[in-house]
Amino acid sequence: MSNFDFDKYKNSYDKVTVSDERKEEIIALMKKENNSTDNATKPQSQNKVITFKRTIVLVASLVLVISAIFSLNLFNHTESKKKSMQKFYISASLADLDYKNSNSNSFVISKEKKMLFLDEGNLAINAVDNRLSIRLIQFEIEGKKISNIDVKSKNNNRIFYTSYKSDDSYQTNSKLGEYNNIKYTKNSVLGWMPSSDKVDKVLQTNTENWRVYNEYLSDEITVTVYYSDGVYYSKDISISFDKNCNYLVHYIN
Amino acid sequence: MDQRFGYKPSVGKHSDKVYKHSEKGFIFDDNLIEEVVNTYSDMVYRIALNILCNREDANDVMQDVFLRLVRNKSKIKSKEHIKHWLIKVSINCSKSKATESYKKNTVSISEISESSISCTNEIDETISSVMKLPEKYKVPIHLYYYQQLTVEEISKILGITKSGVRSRLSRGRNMLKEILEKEDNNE
Repeated sequence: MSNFDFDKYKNSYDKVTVSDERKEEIIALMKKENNSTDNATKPQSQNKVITFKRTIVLVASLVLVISAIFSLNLFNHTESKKKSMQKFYISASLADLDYKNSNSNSFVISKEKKMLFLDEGNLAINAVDNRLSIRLIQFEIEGKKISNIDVKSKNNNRIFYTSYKSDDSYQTNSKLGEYNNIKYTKNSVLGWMPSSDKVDKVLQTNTENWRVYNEYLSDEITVTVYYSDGVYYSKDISISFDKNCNYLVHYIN
Repeated sequence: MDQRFGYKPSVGKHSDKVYKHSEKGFIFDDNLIEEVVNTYSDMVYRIALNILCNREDANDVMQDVFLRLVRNKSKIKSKEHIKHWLIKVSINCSKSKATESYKKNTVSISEISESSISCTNEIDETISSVMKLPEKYKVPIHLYYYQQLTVEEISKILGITKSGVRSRLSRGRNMLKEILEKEDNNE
């Protein structure tokens, strides 16, 4: 198989340059624009008043913040420490699509209208005919001092774990139902996909009805994050489908 | 296997000067304008060309991006920010330009294929292979392999997850292989 020569690509692009004349033109335009925006700014005396007002607001905000921190420490000293340790974020995305969301309680991930695409190394649902679009949902977890992660699928679907050694080199493993003791690294990604038997069932119905999708393919997964000090914290995520058969991902707690 | 080249982007020499300005809180004077254009104009132009496959449009976009920089100078806060801001705005402006051009020039399929051939003919063969990729793949490929940005930086610029970036890089590379194979077979 022929490989693309990225060195050649780099060398070719190095030859694509902007002429000095063109640079001069742009510089002249920018200078003109810069002068006109500078002239449009407010006079200095007004700035002084604004600066004074800003200082008062800043001081007042600072006092408020300090008193808030002080009172929180008095009433909830141990609790706050525990909470900060438990803080982690989950971002969900459909493999390869533009979607990112960390903290909202629920959101829609649009399905791709085209045929099922399976990322390299990921599960094969080869029996699928070209009508069903089922894609891998990826979950990225971010947090400090996380050691291990357990993921459990209530409806016995497939859980993926991809570990990236570099940006180009990675390994994907998957298990049905639950995947425990996943060694957490910054470069690991979790994934979820319906199991092939459930996809087969949907195919047998020969329909793309969202109710059928929800009957066979919806799931609830529990992600348990273990911290290095032994504390652990769980998050439940429901996966279902809207009327257009898009994925609906909902963080339950 | 990491196929990236072991080189630093050509912006290095000039960028030190730009950084000194930023440490003092970005005084957007004429000197800084000159330094920014000399440092980043090639980068902006190449990104626009990568998306638009057309030198004239890329030129227009480059000018637009730099004028926007002046108008938005108050938003530029750090030395890293200026480069990333330019990359992001270059991508967005190029996308808008592409949409605008598409709307203006609604042509038949046969005309489209002819125009794409003439577009790529004036550009180096290796570059045009990447240009043949869909936009969602060629942009990360260019940013990663040419601009030497990390997956994390690309993820922030494009507003997608890191795994999304990796996935696009992987698919983009596979598509490039397919393009090469097709071209080899045609020969």
